[in-house]
This record gives sequence, structure tokens and C-alpha cells, in this order.
Amino acid sequence: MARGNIRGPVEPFRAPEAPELAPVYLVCGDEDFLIDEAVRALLDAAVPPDLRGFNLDVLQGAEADMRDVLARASSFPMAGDRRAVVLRDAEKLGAKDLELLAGYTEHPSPSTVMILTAAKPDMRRKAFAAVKKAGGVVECKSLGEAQIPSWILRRFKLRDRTIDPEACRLLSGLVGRGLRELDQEIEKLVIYAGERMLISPDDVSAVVGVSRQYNIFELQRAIAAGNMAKAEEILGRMLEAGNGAPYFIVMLSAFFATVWKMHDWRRRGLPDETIAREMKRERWMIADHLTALGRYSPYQVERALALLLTADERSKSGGDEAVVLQTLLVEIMAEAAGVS
Amino acid sequence: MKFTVSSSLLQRTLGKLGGVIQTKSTTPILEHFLVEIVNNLLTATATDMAIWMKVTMDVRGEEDGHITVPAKRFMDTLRSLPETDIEFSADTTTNRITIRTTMGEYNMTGDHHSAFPVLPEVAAGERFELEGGVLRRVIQKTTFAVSQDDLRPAMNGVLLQARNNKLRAVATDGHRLVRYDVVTKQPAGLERDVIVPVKTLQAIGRSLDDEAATVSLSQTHVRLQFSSWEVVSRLIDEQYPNYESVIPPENDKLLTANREALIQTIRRVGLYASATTHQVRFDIAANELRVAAQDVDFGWDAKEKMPCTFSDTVFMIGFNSAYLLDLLTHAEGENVTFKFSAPTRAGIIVPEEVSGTEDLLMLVMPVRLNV
Repeated sequence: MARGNIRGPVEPFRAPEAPELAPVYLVCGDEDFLIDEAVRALLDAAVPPDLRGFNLDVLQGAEADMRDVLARASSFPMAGDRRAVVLRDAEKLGAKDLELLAGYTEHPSPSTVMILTAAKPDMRRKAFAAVKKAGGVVECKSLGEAQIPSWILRRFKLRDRTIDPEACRLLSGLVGRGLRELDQEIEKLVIYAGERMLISPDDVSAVVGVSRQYNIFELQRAIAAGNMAKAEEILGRMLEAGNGAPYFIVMLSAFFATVWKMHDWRRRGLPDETIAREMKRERWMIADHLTALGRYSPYQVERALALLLTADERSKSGGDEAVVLQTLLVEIMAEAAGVS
Repeated sequence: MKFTVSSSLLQRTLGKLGGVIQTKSTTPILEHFLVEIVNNLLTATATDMAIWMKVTMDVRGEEDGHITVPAKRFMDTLRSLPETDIEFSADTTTNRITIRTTMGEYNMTGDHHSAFPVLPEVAAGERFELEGGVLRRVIQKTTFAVSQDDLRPAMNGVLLQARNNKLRAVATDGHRLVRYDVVTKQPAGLERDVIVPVKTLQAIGRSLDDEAATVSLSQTHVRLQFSSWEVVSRLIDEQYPNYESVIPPENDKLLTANREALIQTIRRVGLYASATTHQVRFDIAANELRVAAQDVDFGWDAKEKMPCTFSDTVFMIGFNSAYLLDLLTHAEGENVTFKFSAPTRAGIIVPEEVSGTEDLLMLVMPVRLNV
């Protein structure tokens, strides 16, 4: 009987009623926020909160002794009807532990709900395959861009609030597709809005604009688009978050090296789809590279690579990292803008 | 600052701080003792920021003062000295410390006393006296059953409930539970329950004789004062799980056996248990208890039988042998009685002989048979 279920695009995972719970679940995927949500739903169905002190064990795959995990799973609940054992990062289990786990999945304890979580489990492994066969796999894949707005709406609805469609677009545009980050921003917005039911674009600008975390890809996007103000803002935030010069230099060097190669392919008349294939990526995945291709000439790309090399030397010779990187940004982007 | 004292006496006194002092701390000052001299009284304090332990002893003081001392180097020096008088002097401006003996001198650098964390205030709120031996028994009977799981902070300590003249201590790790009641001579009426971290109790247990203790409580800390030392510890600010709800009220199947013989049987048979579950099986009949274990992966098995009395006809139940041994070795008396209701429900262990002022209940969860 399939007792796990596959989540719809934005529907939250709903655990079966207690008597229908499978003895072992594998909650897996690349969206850890949804994994946590599914684990919570399973625990809510399995063990009442007031009995969790006695009947809930949470262990980490990388550290746990599988014999200890199975001993806990084989013990009857101290109170109530079920014990729950959560084993996080189960893909980090060694071969021997997976073998022991496979043995357990063949004869699981009926009074225990074992919940395994994993980002990318190898489903060929006997232990995971057995869970899949028993219908205990809950997939938590990251949401596509088109699914994000309805997910945001649902999260606001859970908090008895709603969001203006423009504000919703702005929020997803600013924060991106990370559900945990989105949820944190939604929480902040609800607190910021106070009694107001509708979240406006101004609310989003006021709350999210000043608090979000950026990543290197967003910096690449700003550089590719020639958006100096944005690039400087992102660089500043990333430096505040503790990213060091070597990280920026390595990542930006790789970015411009790819753009340099793309110039060669473009010169040979290859269409974008073929270039993407050469790079072993989907077309949409090279959008920022294509933008940079249009903005930075082959000479400017070579010049950017040389500037990166100089910045590397400066940062390693005791230069202030922030100054070195800010100078680098200005030099690279001024070249493309024709500013001298 | 300057004082003279016997090396072995000083070593014995400072040794009490061993359970608290940090050896590799990210905060280097926690690797130091704070040493203070006022007249002829030496006070030494160690802390890991959760527990503060302070010891005092008489010395021949020549100059008052206070300084922090690197604990490991100082203790290693004391340990390697023969019984002799040592002269401890410190320049509290440069923090230079010199230890002189008849054999030579040893120099080290301490730190200014102000760098040492301040002992938390435990305001005079709730307070009660525990006569000698009570605290030692509480520690002996409960700390072994405390959960080691950091994700269950409430269960990382021993619950203390003091009502009138009865002190109750409870410890559980979700697989076994110990409830120890003791009648105290002095009333110890606490308006609330407190959870004392197991590390605090273990640190106290290492140094505790049958001394009386004065227990004071603030909202966040507990202070235990003994004749020549004291401990201040943070309390665990969590809700302890409702342990009463897991103690079955009607376990009507009573098994009584010789405790020591049962321990030996479980130890021998347990050697053949699965390393995964440590499972031993009890097959109980009216006058005979069969204890069996097997590890199907390796083809090992063992079984023994021993005499017992059983109030029912036949009954079969499985236990984790490690948990069972822990409980049985912490029980006392010649015989022990198990109270069962069903093979899937908690078994209760009641030692046959406890003193008139004590009551000990131990609970152990069975495990699934044939796994």
C-alpha cells in the first residue's frame, strides 16, 4: 500500500492518519524547507507533542551509530502508541550502516515510525529502494519559478494575511527561490505589517530590500547587466557576510573564462542552444553568460581576466580586500561602459 | 600575594575542581583557577560558565591577594612534587607566579583576577537543608539514567521535586526511567520543580562524601554549599516530560529473582546478543526464568535458566541487556522484583530491600523480540 505521497506543485505534504503511517519514510529532495515541513507533518501524525520527550529520537546520519539507531527503533514507545526515530542526512551513512538499515526495512518495528531524510539518496541502495517499494518516499524537490508566487500566497494565508500580486512578484524577485529565505522574509513582513491584512510592494521594499543575503550568481548577473549600483551593493553585503577575496576572484574568473570561450563559439557562428549544449547546460542556465557576451567584447573579457589576476596579487600582498574588490568591479564594468 | 601550604593537601583540595575546569577551551581564562587569599584562608574557583565550583582551605597566608592560575600546569606541578611545603607567591601587577619548594622554584604567568568570570548571584530565595548522604544517594541512583541526547535538553538533567519532607529525583532517557524518593529530616518545600544538569551532579559526586548540603535556588541557578566548598550551577530551563504518565499503574505479573545471580546471567548471555539490539529474552514460568540471546548474523546464541518466583503462568519479554544491567547494578538488596503487564509495555523494577526512608522505582522499556 502506498502510504507516502508525492507533493503537488505547491501543496504541502499531508501525512496519513496515524494507523496508516508507514513504518519507514524517506523524505528526500533538494528543498530542505519542504523536507522539514514533511518531517514535522509525519511527527505530528506519529507522536503527540507532549510525548516527544520520551518517544522521539533525532540523529544525524554522519555521526550516528546505526546499531544505536536500530536499538532505539526496536524499543517500544515509552508512552502512547508510537515511537519516532528521525535520521537526518541518511545519504551520509556508510555502506555497512546502509546494510544494517536495509535489514531493518525488511522487518521494521510496527510501533516505530522511522523517518530518514536525504538530499540525494542513491535509490539503487537496498535500504532506500525498500522504502520506495513500500510507498514511504516523500519527494521535496525545489519549486520552479512559476510555482513560487502561489507558494508565497499560501504561506501568507497560513498567517491570515494576503499579499498584493505586484508585491508577491517583487518578493520572489528579490529573494529568489529559496523557500527558507522566503519564509523568513514573509515572517518579517507579517511582523512589519502589524494589523494590516494586505502586504504591499512598499512593505516588501522596506523590509526585504535591506535584509536579504546575496550570492555570487547575483553578483555575476549584475556585472553581466552592467548594473554598477547593484553590483556594488551585492559585493558589500557578501563581504559583510564573511565571503573573502579568493572566493570572488575564483568565481568571477570562472565566469569570464566561460564568456571568453563563448565568444569563440559565437565567432564560429554557433547558435545559443548549441553553445549551451557545448557547456553541458540548459539554455536558461547560461542567460547571465549570454548577457555578458553581449556587453563585454572579447578584448574587455581578456582585460577583465587580467584585472582579476592583478586583484588576486593585490589581495595576497596584504591589500584591503574590500578596496581591492571594489576597485576591480569599477575597472571591469567601466571598461564595458566605455568610461575611462 | 603569598602563602605557604602542604603540596598534597593543596593538590587534594584543588582536585575537587577537576570536574569543572576546562582543558581545551576557546575561552582561555576557563583553563585557569581563580586563587584568592584572605588572611589564612585560600579560596579557589573553577568554572565552565555553566558550573562554578569553589573550594576553601586553611593556609599560612603572608600577603592577601587574588590571581588566576593556569590549572593544568599548576596541578601537574603539584602532582609531580613529593609531600613538601610549597610557597606560592604572585606579583599581581605583572601576574607572575612563583612556586618555591626546598628543591627549587617554578614560574608561570597567570592573569588578572578581573578576567575571571564572576560567580552568579543566587539571591536568598528558596533554600533547604539536605542531611549528609542524601545528595550522594540521589546522584548514585539517578545520574546513570539521564539522557545524553542534546536534542532533549530537559532530559539532560535530574528533575528534583521537594515537597514537605520528601525529596524526589527523576531521570530518564526515553528508554528507562528512575524515580528515587527520600524522606528528609528538614522540610524542603519547593514551590517549583527544578532540573539540575547531570554534569553538575557528576562534578559534585566526584568530590562528595556524606556531607550535609544547603541548597539555595534562584530563578536560573542552584547553589549547593558544603562545609568547605560550594557549587553554583545553571538550571535547565525546560519543561520536564510528564514522567508519571509513563509509569504503568497496574503491572500485575510479578517476577522475583536473586539480583546478583540475574546480573551474572544477563552478563554472560548478553555476550551472545545482537550487537544491534543487545536483546535478551526472558521466558518466565512459575519457578524458572530462562534468559536467552542470539545474534543471527554470526550464528551465536546462549541460554541460561535460574530459579525465580512468578505470580503468573508463562510470560515472554525482550530487553536491551545494557539498559537492564545498568538498572540492576544500581538497585540494591539480595532480591529484585520485576512487575510486568504486557510484552510491549514498560517493565518496572523494584529492589526488594530499600531503607524505610527511601523508595526506588526503575522502569525499562522492552524491545521487540526476534529482530
